[in-house]
Formats: sequence, C-alpha cells, structure tokens
Amino acid sequence: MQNVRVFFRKTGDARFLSHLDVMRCFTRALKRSGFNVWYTQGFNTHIYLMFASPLSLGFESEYEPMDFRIVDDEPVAESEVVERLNSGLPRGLTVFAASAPEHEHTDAAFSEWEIRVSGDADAMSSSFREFISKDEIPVTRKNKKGVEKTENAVEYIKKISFDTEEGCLVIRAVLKSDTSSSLNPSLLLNTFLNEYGLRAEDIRITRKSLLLQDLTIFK
Amino acid sequence: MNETVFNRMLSAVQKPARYTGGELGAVYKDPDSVDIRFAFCFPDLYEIGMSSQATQILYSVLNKDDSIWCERFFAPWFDMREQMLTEGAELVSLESRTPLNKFDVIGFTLQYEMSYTNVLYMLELGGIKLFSRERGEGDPFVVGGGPCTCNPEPMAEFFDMFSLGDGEETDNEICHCIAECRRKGLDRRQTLIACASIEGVYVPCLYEPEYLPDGRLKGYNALDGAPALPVRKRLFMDMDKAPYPLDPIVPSMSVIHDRPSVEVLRGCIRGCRFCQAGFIYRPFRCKDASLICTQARALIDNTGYDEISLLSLSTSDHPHLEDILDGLIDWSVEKKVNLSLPSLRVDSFSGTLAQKLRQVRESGLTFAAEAGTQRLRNVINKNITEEEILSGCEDAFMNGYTAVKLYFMLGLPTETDEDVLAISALCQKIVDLFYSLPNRPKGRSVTVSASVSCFIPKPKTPFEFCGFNGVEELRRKQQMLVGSVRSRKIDISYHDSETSYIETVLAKGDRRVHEAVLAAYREGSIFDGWSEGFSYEKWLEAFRKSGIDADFYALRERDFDEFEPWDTVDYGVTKSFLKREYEKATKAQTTPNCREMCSGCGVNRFTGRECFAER
Repeated sequence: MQNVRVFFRKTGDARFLSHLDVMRCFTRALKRSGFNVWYTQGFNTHIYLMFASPLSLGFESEYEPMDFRIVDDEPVAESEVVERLNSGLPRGLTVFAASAPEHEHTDAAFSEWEIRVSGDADAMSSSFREFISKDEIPVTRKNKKGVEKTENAVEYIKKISFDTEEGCLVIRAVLKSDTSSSLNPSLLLNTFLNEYGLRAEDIRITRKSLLLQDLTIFK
Repeated sequence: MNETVFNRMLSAVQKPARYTGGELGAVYKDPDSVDIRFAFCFPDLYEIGMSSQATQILYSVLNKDDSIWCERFFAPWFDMREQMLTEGAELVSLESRTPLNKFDVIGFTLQYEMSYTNVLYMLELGGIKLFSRERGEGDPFVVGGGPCTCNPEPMAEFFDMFSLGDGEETDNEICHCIAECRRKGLDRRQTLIACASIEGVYVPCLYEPEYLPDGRLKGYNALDGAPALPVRKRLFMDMDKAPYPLDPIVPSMSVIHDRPSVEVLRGCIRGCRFCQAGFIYRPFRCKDASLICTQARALIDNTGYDEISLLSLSTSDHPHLEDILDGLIDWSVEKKVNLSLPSLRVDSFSGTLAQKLRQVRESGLTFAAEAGTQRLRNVINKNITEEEILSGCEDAFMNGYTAVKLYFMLGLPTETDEDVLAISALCQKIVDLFYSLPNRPKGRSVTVSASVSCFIPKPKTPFEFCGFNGVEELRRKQQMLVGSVRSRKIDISYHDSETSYIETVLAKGDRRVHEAVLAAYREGSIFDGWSEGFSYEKWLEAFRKSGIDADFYALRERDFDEFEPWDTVDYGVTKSFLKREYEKATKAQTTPNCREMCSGCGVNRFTGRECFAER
C-alpha cells in the first residue's frame, strides 16, 4: 500500500464544479486509470480520496493537493499518474504533479489568494487601502447551526497587498486556512464592497498555493 | 459571448456547471473546418438532456462526420433565464459559446409533449424566428426528432422538417443535403423539397391541411414537389451495426441518469395497448449478446463510472439474457461495477435466471401492474396476473426485501369504480401476504407504495380512438382510491390530472393546436414538465385566447374512419391493426406477444420479412 499525493489545477470553467463534482470526476478518472487503487472498507465501498482543503464553488486554484492510495507497493512513475489521470478529467481540471506526501493535511495553515475585481479600479484601490489599514475589520458569518458570529478578519490575515492592473483591483492575500478555522476570501471582499458601496463587474478568485505555518509550500 | 458577462451570469446561478460544457468526451472542432454547424437542442435542463441516450447517440454520430460540428444547447433554468434577460444575453452553445442563430441546422429532440413550450423558449432566446414560414434565406433549418414526432402536427408550424423514427442516419443526411443545396445555390424552398426526399423526413409546409365543417380534419393537400403522404419513419434494422458511442460525454456534475447505458434491444413484443413506445419502436430488434458485453466493458473502461445499465423497453425479452448476465456478472463483481437492469418482467424468470438476477439486483422491487383487476389488465393487454405479482412479492420478501413498488394507471378505457378500488385491494393483499409469511424479515415492517398516473390515450396505439378521462373524474377516482386504503403500510401517490389533460391535447392535436402552444408560451409557460413551471391557469388562458377547444382534442371519442393528424406519418402499425386491437380491448380479449404469434401489426411492410422467422 502506498499513499500518492497529486497536485492539480482547477481553472477556467472548471471553477463552476462543486467540491462534490470534483470528487466524482477524480473517482471516475482513477477508476478509468487502471491503477489498483484502494477502496474504503465501509458498507458503501468507494475509492478513497482525501482533499487537503476543499475549494468553494466559483474559485479557481493553481495548487490543489489530493491523496489516494495504491494497493500494491511497486512504485508508479509520477509521469504515468499525471498522464493517466489527465486523460480522464474534464477541461480545467489538470493534474501537474504527483509524489509521496511530505506533510500531513493538518500541517496546512494558510492559503495564498489572488483576487481580481474588475470595475472602477482607482476608486476601489483607494478604498481598499483604507479598508486594510484598520486594526479591526469585523466580518460576520453563520456557523453550522445558523447562528451569526462576528469576528475580526485581521486575525486571519497573514499578509495582504494590492495593486491595479488593466482596470482591475488585484489583491494578493495570505489568509488562514487550517482545519480549525479559515477566512474565505469572498467574505473579506464582500465585506469591503458592501462597506464602501462599491460594485464589481466581475470577480475572479484564485488559490495560488497552500502554505505551512512557516509560509513554506505544502507538499 | 462576452466572457465577463458570462462569468457574472454563472456566478449568480444555482448550478453553473449546467452551462459550461468542457466535460470528458465533449467534442471541439475548428468551426472553419466544417460545412455544417449543427445545434443539438434538448428542450429541458442539462441534467435531463444529458441523461438521454438520444443526446449521446446523435452527438456522436454527427461529430464522427468531419464535415459537421454538433454542439449542445439545453433550456436555461429560471435563475439563468433571469440573468440572461438582465444582461440581454443570447442562448449560446455549451462547446464554443456560439449563439443559436449562427448555426446551419437546429435539431430539437421531442421526448415528451410537456417540453413543447421550451422549444419556443429556446428558439426565442436564441434569436430564431418561431414560425417556419417566417424564416428566410440564411436562417437556420429547424428539425425535430424523437418519439413525439409520431404526431408532429401540433409543432408543425414551428419546424422546417421532422426526422421520423430512428435518427442514426437521417440527421447526417439532412446536413449533407443542406450543404449540397447551398453549393448548388438552391433557395430555401428548393432545399426543403430536396430534404423531403430523404427517407424518414417529413416537411410539413409542403402539405396543407383541410378541415370539415365540424372542425375535424378532412385530409391534406400535397403541394408541388411534395412526396405522397403518409411519410414513413426511418428504420435502422441491424442493431449490431447501429452506431453506438463507447466514449460518451461524461457530465462533470451529477445528472439524473448518472451512468452509461448499453442499448440491448429496440422495440417490444408485448403489445400493451396503452404504451406508445411499444408500437412506435416496432419491429423488435436485438443486439448480439457478446456485443452487449463488449460494449458494456468498453463504456466502463472509457468513462470510469462504477455503474452501468442495460437499456430497453423489456430487457427480459432478449432471447439470450442468460448469456448477457453470464458475460457481465462476474466481470461487474471483479470491477466493482454495479449492474442495473431496469425493465425486467416478473413472469419471465426461470429458476437459474432468477438466481443470477438476485446477484445483481439490490434496489427495491417494482411491478408495473398498471390496473387493479384482471379484467382491466386484459383490456390493456398487460398480461401479468395477480398470482404472478403475489408470487414475485413472496419471493422478494423471502429474500429480505421489505419494500415493493407498484405502478398503476387511472382513467383507462372501460374502467369502473370497482377497478379503481381493486388497486388498494391488491396493495392490501401484498401487505397481508407479508405478515402471513413465517420466514419474513424479522423486526421490520413492510411498505407497499403505489404510484398512480393518469392514462393518456396516445396516437399510434389501439387507444388513439379513446378520449381522456377528464380532470374532475380522475380527481374523483384518486380521492376514492386514497380513501379506500385501510393500512398505514400502503402509500399511494398520484399524478396531477391537469398536466395529463394538457399532455393529451398536445399529443392528439392537429396543426391548429400550435396556436395554444404559442399562447401558453406567451402567458409565460416554460418547463411545463416541472411543478416549478407548469400552470394550469396559464394553459386555460392560452386556450381561451387562441380559441382552441381543448376538449375537442382531449376528450372526444374518435371514429374509426376519421382522418387523424398523425395519419400524415407512418410508423409501421396500420390503422386496421389498431382497430382490431381496440375491438379486442373492449371485449377484454388479450393478444399474444409477437414471439408467440404474429398479430399482423403491419410493420413488416417496412422490413419485408416476418419478425420472428427462422433466420
């Protein structure tokens, strides 16, 4: 038995696939690949898949890790995993690397995001400068029981910078995303847009990478 | 289409993956490399359309042709419609996001009558003129296919042509014919006449209906250049050679029928008199058992699904079902693939076959009893006895099942209140049977659910002469049935009779009925097959506004010698056969299945041989 970790991109139209859809696509791609993959042993047996940090519907990503297991111990070539999986995936889901896992899923601590907001870039950028200079940015979300809870987003922001590019406000942020708590970039963005009464023409949110506590890359 | 606008729309809807395309198996071509761009339109949601084998087969057959690029369109759900109206966006294809009006040929599949308003909805969102007569040089040709074309008349004003029967070859021939006419510089009318000479193609504008003073049809006048009526449906006889996609599109999101299928046979030998499919898909043709197994394996290898179903009207009528199961059961266990076998008849299992089936069948047990009394089952030629149902249930209970589902219809010809009450009585007998078994599953209770639909007398069946039972009368019967249930183990669910009434009008209508379809669409009717879309009030208003007398079409008993709207098209079964069957029905006489005895339905006029002759 060996653990295999693949890294894939979810780009373009594939960002409109839900996490459940992505799981189903990978299940089929693995079944189709012919690798002798490990199935869970429960009543409803299915191919074992583990995602480090599920991505919200509508977000793109350039760095998504996913684990599965191969029953036999004979090592499989990285290129073979990549090639066989890609031939069975829809457009926009692309595996670009495969290796033995280096870190535990619980080691993932931060996500690096790029948020592109098209609209009045100048107005947005001056407002955003003010927005992120505050010591306290209250964001409100509902927990699983539907109870609203307000927290200070600043505690979740490790790094943040912004720029304007071709009529876009481009925000680069490293936000907390470990297994216990995380900040969804769209919550931060919507709080900003609402507070300043700004309207976005289009929003594109991309996870650029997944990071460890010391901000090195999760592998 | 502007990408920013498209993104904005998709970000605002519930299930954006319905509109993106890009699935495994989707075909992309260089638009400049093809002669004909074909828009395959399924007038319902993506999840429904992608569950249809028609979509997969036609998409594959058309795209195998280097001179054609077939792309897909589905009906946008209400949330997407709102976005499109707000943004002023047109309906675009899934593959290249090209607007519908940029295509050469638009092919709609008409799978059920309640999708008719969605045809208009999609045409209008795509910037296509609704009426065939309004479309001119350079406009796309709108083609209809699918089971509903066995009475194409209610939609005839909106379509340039219909492809009748098996569509595997016809659509490509239509494309080639249109491309050829364009090369020759022929105008639209000449092109339509050229297409009319393709086997199985009906061009409605070449025939003018004439009516009697009492409103019934008198007949049709063929215009210059029109082939004689009736137009025969197209048949693809050799199922072993029928093109079948083994690398189908695999939807990335979950769809209704989320597994590949192998078609095992086409047509049906049973001749149940209410069943339109049982008549319009004649003759009975089956695929070779080993080919079925090869195709099933290839489909799983190519798609990665963990489930596959065998598709047909009656899988147990395949003469070599045992070979098919032998070829698939061990493989499916080894491959961890779930084999799903819908459409099995309880009466056709031998001992060993039943044993084999038990290995694959894990879902609940269903019986299509269709009627409560033996007399009424004889009327509809549903040759299943109460004894068979009860012994099937007993067998199931002994094997650990505790849930049984039965299908029935209300409003069948000659039905009395006694027949209706017999439905709940039969359900009660099954409950009693369960508790009478000493070896029943212990500690568990039984559930008998009956799903009761409203009978719709459809064209090309022996009941085409009959009227619909009526909205109120069906409601009375439903109430009576529900009121007669004495056990909490029995769960009765029934269909809304208003939808069935409208469906009858659309199924049996003539060319004038298009005015009601248009009026209903103008009232805001779309997605009539969905509770979210259907509005009886809108349809009644549409009938008032268009002056269409719905009862005239739905409720009236028709004379044997009346010229019917669907007599323009020949699906094989002859009028004289349907009359004979109707008369036998009224006397509660059954007809043996085709394998036992040929009843002379007439389809072998097309094939030139007996269906079950020694080969």
